[in-house]
Amino acid sequence: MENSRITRRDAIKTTAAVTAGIVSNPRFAFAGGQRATMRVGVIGCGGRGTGAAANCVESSEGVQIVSMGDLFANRLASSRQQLAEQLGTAFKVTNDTAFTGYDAFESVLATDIDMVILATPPAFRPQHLRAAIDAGKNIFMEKPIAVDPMGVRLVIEASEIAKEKGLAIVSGTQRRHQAPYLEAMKRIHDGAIGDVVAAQVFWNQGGLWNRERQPGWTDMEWQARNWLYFTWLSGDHIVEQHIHNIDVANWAMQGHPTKAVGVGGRQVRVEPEFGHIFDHFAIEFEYESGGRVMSMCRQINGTANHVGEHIVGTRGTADPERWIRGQQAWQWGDTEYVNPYVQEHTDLIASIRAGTPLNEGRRVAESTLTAIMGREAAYTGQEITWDEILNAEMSLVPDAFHFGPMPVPDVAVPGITTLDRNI
Amino acid sequence: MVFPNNISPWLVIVATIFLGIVPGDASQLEPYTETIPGTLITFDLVPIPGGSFSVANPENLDIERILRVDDIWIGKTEVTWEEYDVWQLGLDHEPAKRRQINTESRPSRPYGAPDWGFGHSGFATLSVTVHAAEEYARWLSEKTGKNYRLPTTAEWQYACYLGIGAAPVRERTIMPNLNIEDRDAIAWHFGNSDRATHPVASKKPNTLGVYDMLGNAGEWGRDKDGATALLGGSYRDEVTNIHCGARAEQARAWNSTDPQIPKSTWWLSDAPFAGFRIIRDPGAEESVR
Repeated sequence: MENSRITRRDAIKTTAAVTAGIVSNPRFAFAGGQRATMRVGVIGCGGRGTGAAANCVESSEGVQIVSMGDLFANRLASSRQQLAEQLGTAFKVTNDTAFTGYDAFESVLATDIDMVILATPPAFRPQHLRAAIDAGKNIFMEKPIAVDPMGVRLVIEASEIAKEKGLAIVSGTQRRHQAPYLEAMKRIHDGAIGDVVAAQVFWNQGGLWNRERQPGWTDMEWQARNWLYFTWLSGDHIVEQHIHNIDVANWAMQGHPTKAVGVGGRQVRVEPEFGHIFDHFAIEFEYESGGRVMSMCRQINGTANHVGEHIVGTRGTADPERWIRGQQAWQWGDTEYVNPYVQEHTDLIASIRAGTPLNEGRRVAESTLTAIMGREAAYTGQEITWDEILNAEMSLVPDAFHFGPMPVPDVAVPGITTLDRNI
Repeated sequence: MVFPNNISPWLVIVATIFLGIVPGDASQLEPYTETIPGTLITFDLVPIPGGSFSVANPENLDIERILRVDDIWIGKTEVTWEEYDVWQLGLDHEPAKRRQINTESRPSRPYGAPDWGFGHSGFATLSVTVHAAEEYARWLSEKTGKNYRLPTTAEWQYACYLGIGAAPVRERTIMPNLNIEDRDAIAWHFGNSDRATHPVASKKPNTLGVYDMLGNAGEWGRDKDGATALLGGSYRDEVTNIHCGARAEQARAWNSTDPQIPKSTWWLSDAPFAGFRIIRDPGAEESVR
């Protein structure tokens, strides 16, 4: 897969340049007139890709799932079966439009689709996003969107091209489409808690699933099936999971941080089946305004749970999923139940059909990079600035994928590990 | 704090119209404290003397059926996270052996925080499916050699009515509801909970010494015909919807944001009000008979 090498190595260092020669056309995806039916392909058919496909069909009238691809045949088969049962006539995938292997994404993009759901592990996202944009498809892509700065730069570049082409990109940071968050953030940005000066954000929970290594699995297959536990595949749990809360912090602060300092380690979940990622992080992010965000995430069984955000202003505080306290107190009233995992597709498809495509690419790229900056502050033990991480040479994803030997990287050691890591 | 006038869209309350209750003779059973074997975790059980109660046809208020309940023990509190964690996290096994536990028989790892940050130690287990609650009781029975299970809806409602001081009534009258002040004293509901569960047994007990049957976490029960429902209302419900006849059947919204397909069979991503209480049924135990 030589093209992936070229794609990654060609990543631009800053975000201003856009590939030349793109013809701006806001209706590119529907040249020749819009179709009544939104034909959707799915790349990455695990639990989340399957769930996203169902959410997408539920979100809007006239949506069909027409093609699917996954690295593994068994994952593709179980996803097909579940979607066939759940979606009925909206499920149009046949043996001719179902693909496996590393190249499955290319086959899906070659089918007759208007939009694609990108839901593989995040390592592959930059490459898949670029290929989808080049193929002229609208995008729903799961978070996070990359695992390293090079991937983030690729996504920012691809998002600019999407804008030029009039293609929509919505990412799976569903809090951005969740009614109580939208209402709370509007109030916060209108001054309900004064100036936002700090926030505390958390994703503390127990461990997640792990698939026991089977005889005959190569290193690569074992890692891909247990992708959560390898930084090159998942970004580590601060990037893979805690990005949701970090994204809310950036939302409240209306920008990305300028630097980060943090701690973290691999204290309890130390067995080899858990790869080399950490099991806890605590990071302080500092913003241009001087505002500070304390971020904490943990995946250790039997410890206190907490998933959420707390925003501090000069005249009040907020839990943006529930309430604002202070002189302009407010509480979310639950008056109407809307599933944000569906709403994000509703908003995406409505924007495509209206000819005003949403493009969340840069925003989610910045949130992903914020989480990567936090991870690297903990991994290296150093203060990491935004410019430093944005332009870092680090590249964690192999240039070519094949089922074979794949050594597990060392566990990061603060004070020793450096940013200029390359696989 | 001003609360908006709302009723949780997650719960559809259907009331059982209760006509009368006839307790049997005093129970021969004694209260006791159970220890989960191999741990220091304990919980208390309270005897409920068997009896019967009658349920009305909602249209003409005639007696529709009379339900007979045998002597049972009922959990003094909702099952707490300390108890549930022993099972869900495999704390009954040595740390080195926990990963060898059959993963089919224990809950999968939840995505996110099933206690929703309300509190853990001393708080009711939340976000669990009825399947998870029943599997927990099955495991506890194997551990202890006693017959623990979820209450039937009839057992649960009978115990609830008995506990709120429903005097033995033999004539056909509709039992008056608890007044609001009484409910406020024994139940966490929308108006006093600040949208969260509170530690079990932090309100007053009912007359049987049982806590939180009304409000706090809703409690799973299973009808004789197999249908399941959360009983008694929860902290999310208006006080007027907190009563012994309140039942809510699982709605699609209760796990709609589980982002994965297939959805978890163990956890309900959007039901931080779904908990349970266990009973012990001595009638099914040879040694007690």
